[in-house]
Amino acid sequence: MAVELPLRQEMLDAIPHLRAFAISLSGNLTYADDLVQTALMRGLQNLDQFQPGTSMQAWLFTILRNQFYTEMRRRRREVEDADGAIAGRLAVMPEQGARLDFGDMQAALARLPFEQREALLLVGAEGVSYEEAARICGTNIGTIKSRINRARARLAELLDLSLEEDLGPDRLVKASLFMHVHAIV
Amino acid sequence: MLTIVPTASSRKPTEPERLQVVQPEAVVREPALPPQVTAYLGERLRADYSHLVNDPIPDELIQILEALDQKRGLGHGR
Repeated sequence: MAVELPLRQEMLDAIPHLRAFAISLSGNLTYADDLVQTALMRGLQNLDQFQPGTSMQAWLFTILRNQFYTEMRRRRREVEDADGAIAGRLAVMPEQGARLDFGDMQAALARLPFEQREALLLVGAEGVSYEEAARICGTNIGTIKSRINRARARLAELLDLSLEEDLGPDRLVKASLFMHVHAIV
Repeated sequence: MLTIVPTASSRKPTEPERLQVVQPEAVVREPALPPQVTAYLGERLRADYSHLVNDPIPDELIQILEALDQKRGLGHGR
């Protein structure tokens, strides 16, 4: 069966979004394009499983995201088998391919756990609903919200954003240490 | 071989059950960011992301759809 034109168009329209998501998630341009390519091929092969009337983009996001995690797990296992567990933690991502160099925001994103990163990207950048993000990530809305909150807090910390407004525990500890030291001297 | 392709619809029936399940990650105390920090982060994120969305798409990715169209079309014709 040939791919029907509207579905094909929906897939085509989803490509820039799949690509932006894959790049932001993996931080690797070459690998991101591989991910998008595989997701599109799997989507085409399994088009009969797509529910008409639902979001083609969300469906392809789910495929791409699952593909990403499957490959991460496999890669981690392979490296652990070969070099032991420590190397496995270091070499999760493919080595080849162009790395992203967009500046501090991308660098900060790359330091978030994948689960927080994908939740923040889907809702905060891509603009899908909490409900849709939960479906894509195979979890519930509460978990998505929690991951996003923690992602934002960590990003703010990494980007040094909350210094003026936030008197968190760290600042209080520093402030009291400062006073203590001065009292001694 | 493809083993995991959950569709949006295949997840739907379990969703109401799932929502009532205790959410351990959500129970943890959430740090509250000042609203202006959250807003700033959102703007930066969306700006970076839309930059990526507007990037030209590599031809290989578009060709996948065309190549498979042709293959499926031929198969169907026989």
